Amino acid sequence: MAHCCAAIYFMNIRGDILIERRYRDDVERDMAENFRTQILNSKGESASLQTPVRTLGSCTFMYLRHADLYILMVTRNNANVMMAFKFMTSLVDLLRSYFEGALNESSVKRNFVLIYELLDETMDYGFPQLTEPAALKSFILQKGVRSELDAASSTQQARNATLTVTGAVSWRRPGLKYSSNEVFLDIVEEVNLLLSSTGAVLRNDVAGKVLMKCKLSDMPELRLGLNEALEDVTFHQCVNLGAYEQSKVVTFIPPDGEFELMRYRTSEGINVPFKVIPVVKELGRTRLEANVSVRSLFGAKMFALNTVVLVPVPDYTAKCNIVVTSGKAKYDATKKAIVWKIKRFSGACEHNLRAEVSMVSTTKERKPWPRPPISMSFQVPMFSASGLRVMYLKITERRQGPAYSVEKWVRKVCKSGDFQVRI
Amino acid sequence: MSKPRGPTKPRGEYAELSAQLQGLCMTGKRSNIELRQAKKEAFKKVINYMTLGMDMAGLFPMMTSCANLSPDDVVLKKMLYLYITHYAASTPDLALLTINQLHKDCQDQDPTVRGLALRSLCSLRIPNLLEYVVTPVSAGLDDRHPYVRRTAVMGVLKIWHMSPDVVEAQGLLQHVQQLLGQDGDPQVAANCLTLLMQVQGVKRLASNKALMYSLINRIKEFSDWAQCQVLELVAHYTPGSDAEVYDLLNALEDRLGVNNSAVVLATIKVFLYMTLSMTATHQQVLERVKEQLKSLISREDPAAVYAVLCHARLLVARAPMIFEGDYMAFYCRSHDSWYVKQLKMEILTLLASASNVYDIVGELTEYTRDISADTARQAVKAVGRIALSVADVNGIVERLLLFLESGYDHIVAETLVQLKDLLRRYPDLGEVFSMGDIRPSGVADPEARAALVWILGHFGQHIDTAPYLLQPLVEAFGSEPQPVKLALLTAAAKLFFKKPGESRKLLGACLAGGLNDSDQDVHDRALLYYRLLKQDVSTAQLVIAGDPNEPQQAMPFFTDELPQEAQQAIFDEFNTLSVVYQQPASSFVQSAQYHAQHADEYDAPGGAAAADAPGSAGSSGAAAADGGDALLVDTSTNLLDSVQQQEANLLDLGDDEPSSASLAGGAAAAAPAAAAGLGGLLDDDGLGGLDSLMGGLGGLSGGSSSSNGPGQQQQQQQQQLQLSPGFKLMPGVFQERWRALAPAEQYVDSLNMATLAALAANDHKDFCGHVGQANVYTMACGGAAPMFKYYFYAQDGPSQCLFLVEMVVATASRHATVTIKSDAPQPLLAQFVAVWKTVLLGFYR
Repeated sequence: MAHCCAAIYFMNIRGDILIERRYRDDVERDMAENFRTQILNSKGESASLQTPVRTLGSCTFMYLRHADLYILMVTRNNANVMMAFKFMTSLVDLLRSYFEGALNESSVKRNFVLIYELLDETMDYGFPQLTEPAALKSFILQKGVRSELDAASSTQQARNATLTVTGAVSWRRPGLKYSSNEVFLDIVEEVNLLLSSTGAVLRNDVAGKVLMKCKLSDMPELRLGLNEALEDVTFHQCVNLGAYEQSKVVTFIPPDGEFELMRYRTSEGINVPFKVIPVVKELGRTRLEANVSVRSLFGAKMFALNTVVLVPVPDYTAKCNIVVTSGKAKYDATKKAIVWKIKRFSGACEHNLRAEVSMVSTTKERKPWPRPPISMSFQVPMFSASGLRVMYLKITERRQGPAYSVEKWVRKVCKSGDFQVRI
Repeated sequence: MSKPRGPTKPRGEYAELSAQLQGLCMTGKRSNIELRQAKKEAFKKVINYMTLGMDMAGLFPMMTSCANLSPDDVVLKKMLYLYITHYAASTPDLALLTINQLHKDCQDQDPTVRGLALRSLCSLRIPNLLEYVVTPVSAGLDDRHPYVRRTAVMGVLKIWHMSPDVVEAQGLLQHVQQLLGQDGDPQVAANCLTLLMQVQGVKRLASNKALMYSLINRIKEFSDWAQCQVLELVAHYTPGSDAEVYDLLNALEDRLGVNNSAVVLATIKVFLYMTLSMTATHQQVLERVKEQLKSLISREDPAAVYAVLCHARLLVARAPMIFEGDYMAFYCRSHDSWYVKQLKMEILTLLASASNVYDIVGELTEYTRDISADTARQAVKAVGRIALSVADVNGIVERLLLFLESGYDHIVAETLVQLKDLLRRYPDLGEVFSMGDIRPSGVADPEARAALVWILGHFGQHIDTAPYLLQPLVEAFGSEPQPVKLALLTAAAKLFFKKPGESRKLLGACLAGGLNDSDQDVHDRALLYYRLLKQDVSTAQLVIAGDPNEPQQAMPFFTDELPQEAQQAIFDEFNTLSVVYQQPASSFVQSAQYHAQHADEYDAPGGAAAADAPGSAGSSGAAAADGGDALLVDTSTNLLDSVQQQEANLLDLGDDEPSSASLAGGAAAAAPAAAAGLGGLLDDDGLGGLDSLMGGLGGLSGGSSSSNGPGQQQQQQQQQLQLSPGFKLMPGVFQERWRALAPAEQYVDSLNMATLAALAANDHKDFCGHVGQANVYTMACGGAAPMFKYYFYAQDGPSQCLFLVEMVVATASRHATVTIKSDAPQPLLAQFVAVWKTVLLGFYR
């Protein structure tokens, strides 16, 4: 039935077992060894062709890769595959939050006792239990030590904390205290664009997230007003979905610390930050000419950071003569492309690249160049591709009333997702 | 105590740890804090070695006493219990020693410790110790702290797996049932639900309406994971009325907007299952969940996207019309992993239709430039498959021919494979296009080379240079791979019938090479050809290349997709691994395993459906039998419909489909004598199939009609149905004839939802056009739900006999009633009915 797994393994890139937690008897350690020998380390064509769900015999392996780790779930049943993957990603989020971002082989090795503790709490007998970082942190302590000088007090605190673990507001424990209340709100958007060689828009959409960091005392209720009603949006479990349906105001009691409030996606009314006009001409068998102009479409007061334009050139390129109006550009043989970097790209201006590419001439018949697309990556602070804006963020605490003051910080950033122009 | 057993264990470290732990059992001069720290370090080392797979079981007594001397250190306790549960099963005697301590901890003041002890106690999994476990668990269910209660509930499940009788005898289930109704803590309730779903089965639990409604009402209190369980339960509930369905859907609609994709997919399952019997609502639901699927695809992690796409593939296959306009959502992104790209291309293939096919093919053409050769081949394959499935094929064929000129070996190879299938579907195309100057000796990929050889042999009459192109391959016959050898034999024989002068030597060399070959299949085929030719050349031609005076038979359709029954079986297991594997659970879950007691109702529908559909079980079983990776092998190449093969020339079977698995499958289907059932089919590796094929042929040459295949063929020679192309009938005549004739054939067919939608699409014109391809023409068509009506007619050319068909589709019950009237004699009528059914089958989704 719907249980997800009989065992969880953490492995390093070579397939050595770092963590083994078996929840049921129907899988053996051998299975994980088999996974290493037959799947991870299998040579030849299959090595690059590995789906995230594999079988050996009647055993199913579901795995994902994070940094230099494999996280692997094993089952013999017809498991709920979506739940399994979601559980693994939740586990990754949980551990990252414990290790402050760095989840990798060395942090796993350093903290394996803590991970075992967490695996004990997040899953019982193959059924997911609790994966909320805030709730778990209240009784499984960061360093795995709580028996030092303040053993008595911390034990007491942990005991209280356990009480909240299964409470109704599982994502927040009562009685939090901060000397100054602060809340940070980040809107992070990724804009995807695919233009055909004729300039027609093949795909254009924005995937956005609202990330929050709350350092708030007691039990505040937040009301977030947005300028437009989003179509395709999902929320953190703390958000009152009924209230959103009715009034389109995002109302919630936040978890403590960092969390992802909502995700959304839109494909209409998108402000594209850049316009790219490429002209790539193949002049005979050994010469190619590329003219690429990039124009920023955001306000003159804004700017883009770390803009990189990749202009692909044929495999057998010998030399490139490049002239750019801004930034630096050079031919990178490993990427088979001209890499054009502009550290700071101001708004409402245009920069051009002009390159003359000469190719090695051979007597052998040459395959036609497939003309891969030009791709671009960038970050534009304070730019919103979807046009989403925060109208207000109201914070109320019932017991403290008007005395409850909060510092609020709102940031926006627009990043490139898949930003490509075919030539 | 027990000696260390692990072969990999470094003696030195084990001994060192043992001594260290022994030392730590005594306080000595160290301060309390130092001692704790030292113990912790030692324990960490033990756990670390344990994880590395070394046998640390021998340290059991030291570990236990060390921890017992520091009873208030919870982390130490946790490490000890982890250690104990890890080794308990292998050292039950030692585990017994810790029972006392665990019992004591179950009474601890701290709920964390009580829960921990209880969980560890239940995880010992030693049947002999069950009596010690039951009492604390029973007490735990009444604990004042929810943390302990929820642990105890899972404890009951663990006991149940070891011994259901104990759970029964102690009345633990009733206890849990009470908790589910009363407990205020959502996680406790969720675990109760999990337990009961396992023990009692989902179906039975879902029939408890009051319980289900109370869970739905408080669903927002539950954690994401618990919500999934509740939704799973709801999906198996059978609502009493349509109104109730709408209530449920309204109550759960906001679950589609949750961040957790597992909850979203579980909700989608509820929505789909609830509305199965309400056709219109089901379509609306699909429209609704389509948006959710699209957004999951665009933003989850690659692995999760993979799972979502597998589900999307299933839904698209069921209702391509719904997704037709959203094909852009399945376009690949350059950063997608290859497996995501592959699935997206499969989906694009499924949803290609007259309205979007050129956009999709154009996009797929872009993917053929992908750096990864596998992805590029996949894209070519997708274009080929689309060409097989849509009505207007010419533009796509041109595209495929362009691929031949791309200059990239992998693209040319895949294009050849696809062209071969396309030519089998539309033999007339063979005259139209030339293969250019591609030499088979220049094609590296064996499958592609075999495909090209087949084309050269089959269409040799149009390709002047065919014998000379094959010459270099024949010269190196011995070094070719087996599929190419088989293809060469047949191609040489076919060419010989077409151009005896030029090909005589070629055939001779092939046969000589084949007879000396070490491969059994190749040898047997060469021998068969040789003897046939020796006996009588014209008979040999009939058997090997078909009757030269007949027009070439076209494969009416290929079943790339899953058979409908198998698809339904998988849909019944939505949101599980079945969807990823495209196999019902019964084919990959071992039933006889450690928790065999599962009264799991999940397996039932899958198993039953698989039994209903021998075809699907055959293909899926074949894949499953190889075990392991075979599950993931692309079965599509083997899924050639056996019915088709039966109609085709007997000997064409082998060379049409070089893979031995389908050779065996096809042959077994063609010669009923070999209907040894599934088991036989799986066991033989092509040899048995070929044997039976030979048997069938023996029957043919002997003139006996004991087996169906040859008998049918002979009949066809006597009186072959030939429907006149472009035949026209006046409506008046139709009406008159319809009244005058009595029904000659009548049957009822049931349709699925997708077919129904496809019928009505484009104002019924798609369907009529499809039927028209078989020279059956439309008199009248149309109607709206709940009733579609179609009238068709056709004429047999030689005998001038008329066939009139009426098809009435009731959309509510999804039944099609077909009435055929004709003045034709019985043999012709039977042929027409067969043609008609094949045409319909080709349209069914």
